[in-house]
Amino acid sequence: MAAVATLERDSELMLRVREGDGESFALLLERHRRPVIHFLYRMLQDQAVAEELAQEVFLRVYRARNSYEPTAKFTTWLFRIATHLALNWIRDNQKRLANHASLDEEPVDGPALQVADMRPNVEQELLRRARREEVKRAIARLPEKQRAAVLMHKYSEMEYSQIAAVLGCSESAVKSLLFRAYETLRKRLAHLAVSPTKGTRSRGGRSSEPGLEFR
Amino acid sequence: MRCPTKTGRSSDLALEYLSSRLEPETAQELERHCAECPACREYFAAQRAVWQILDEWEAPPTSPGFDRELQRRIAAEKARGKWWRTLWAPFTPRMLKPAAAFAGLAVIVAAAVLLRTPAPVSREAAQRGSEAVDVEQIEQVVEDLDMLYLLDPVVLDETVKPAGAAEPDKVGSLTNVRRRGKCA
Repeated sequence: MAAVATLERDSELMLRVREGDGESFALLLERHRRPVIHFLYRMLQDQAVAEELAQEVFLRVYRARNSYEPTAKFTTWLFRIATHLALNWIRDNQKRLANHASLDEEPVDGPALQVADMRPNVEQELLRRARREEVKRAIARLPEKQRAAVLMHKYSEMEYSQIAAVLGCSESAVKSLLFRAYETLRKRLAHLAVSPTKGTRSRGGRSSEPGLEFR
Repeated sequence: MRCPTKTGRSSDLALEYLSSRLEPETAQELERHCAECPACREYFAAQRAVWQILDEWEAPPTSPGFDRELQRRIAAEKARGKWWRTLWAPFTPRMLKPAAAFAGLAVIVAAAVLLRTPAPVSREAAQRGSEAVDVEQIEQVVEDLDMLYLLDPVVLDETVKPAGAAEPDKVGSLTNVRRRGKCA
């Protein structure tokens, strides 16, 4: 029900943008900026590129305002543009990405820790960063479509039908992509799961519910 | 619940369960089953661990100037659009209709003028044309006379031969000369 309401609101806002209402565009931007940038960041693992491509996504939305028809869910349309741009960028920068992957062993986001900074939680922070880097690498090594499917499913909370519409495949194909991707991630990250962090909370997207202990 | 590992539904159920899409009753059934089944317990625990690890990956915050930069680009595009529209103003659909009508009318008038005016013929070409017609006519007449003579020289002598007309042998000689000329 809430999803239907959001669909209506997004479509209505877009129709108002078509009539020249700048406020409606600002509202759409406010609503979808974060999910789009985060998706692009996780897809490309470069914040500057993610923001640049997100700008292009919203520019394309603005350009298409006159021809916009509310036939599909707005989010699906938005993520289709974002995915298309991300996949194109990856293809255009294959060589650069290969070089970057071999050189980039350092964490790219978050402030660098100083040696002199010997607060008690430094070790914990280093461990957290190391785990995060492993997760990033494991996801980066997934094939493009599997990566996009996992990111949309796990972090953007999209339905199978929406992911299918974005990737241009069937729902069963999406499920297959997700099974393979999660299975690969399970194998690659198994060593991190030996002592899983208790009470880990989600920082966006779906989280594992606390209390779902099987033993 | 039938064992998901044995029925091959574990992957499907894991996706639904971990993304909180499973019906509450089914989720409870699964949990009860996992408590009794070591294979399922191990599988679902491993999937849940991956899910938790993925939760640890936080995206960095968006740059504060993101919206401002986007607004700047939209404004620049609007300005470019205005310049473009000014340049193409004469070719806008509103202006294209009368322009197309005028062009069509001009084509019709030009076609009418061209069709009504005969093509100029040079004097030499006209002369060559008349000469060609004359020669053809003469040849035709001579051939007709030949034919008549061959069919019935007597009739020709008595009925067709006018006063002072050429003798048959002369006509024959004329035809022969023509034939010889043709062969040559």
